[in-house]
Amino acid sequence: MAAQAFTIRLKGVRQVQMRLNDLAARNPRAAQSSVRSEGEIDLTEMKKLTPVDLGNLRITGRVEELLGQIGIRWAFGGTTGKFPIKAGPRTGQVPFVDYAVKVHQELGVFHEVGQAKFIEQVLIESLPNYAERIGRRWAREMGIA
Amino acid sequence: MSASSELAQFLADGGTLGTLAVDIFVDKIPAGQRNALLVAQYQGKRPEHRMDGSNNIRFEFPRVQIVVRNTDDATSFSKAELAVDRLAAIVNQTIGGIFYRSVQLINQPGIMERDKNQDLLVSFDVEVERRRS
Repeated sequence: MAAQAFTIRLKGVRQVQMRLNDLAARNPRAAQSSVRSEGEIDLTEMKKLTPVDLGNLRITGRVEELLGQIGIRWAFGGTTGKFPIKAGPRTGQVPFVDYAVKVHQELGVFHEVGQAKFIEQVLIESLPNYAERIGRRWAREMGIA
Repeated sequence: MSASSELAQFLADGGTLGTLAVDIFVDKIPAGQRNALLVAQYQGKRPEHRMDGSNNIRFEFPRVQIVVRNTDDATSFSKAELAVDRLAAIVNQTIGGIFYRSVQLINQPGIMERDKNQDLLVSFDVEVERRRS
């Protein structure tokens, strides 16, 4: 069978991007607030899927804002510095979680609570609607919807 | 067959990464095997259904994780990079009798952990676009 090819041309994409960039530039706080608020919703879902055993992985989950640009990232591991140990020989110390990547990536481990890929799984489900969610929230915050 | 089985065989066929069931494994590394490349499938995006009234699945998008463990750290990374090159080159071709539209890298190889033998485990993930068998 002969090879088939087709082309789709979308007109005005650049203009839409410029308009959105302009809106974001003029109202960065509203844009960032919308992105962050939607990110917090997904963080809650990620925490529901985070394996819980003896450590503190789940409470290290957080939304971090990107410096100098509109955007966020979800982070697990390290420390949030908010939850010192309350009892035992390490009382007062802030737990440090250095196994987040291992727990996230290890597919062959059975977890009584949670699962591997606890970040990725949520993003797979939420990303198709992410732009729309942020857009709706942003429009509400801007008072235009 | 699963995408992990097909891609494991595909990696073995390249001739530079190892041999299936000797140092390339599907879904599980046998106990005691320190030099190994694991190909494991997990859930990806929802599949694409046919629009001909049958609602059968036309394309599916499983994700596949590659884990390389080796007693030599540099070899862990170099084998992972070789696997990246081989998998990322897949486009519109038949593997194990199944049509693969593409294999796309989700992340670069990175350190997953150092195991009890101090062997380095390096992993990365790909998203597969594969016609349903």
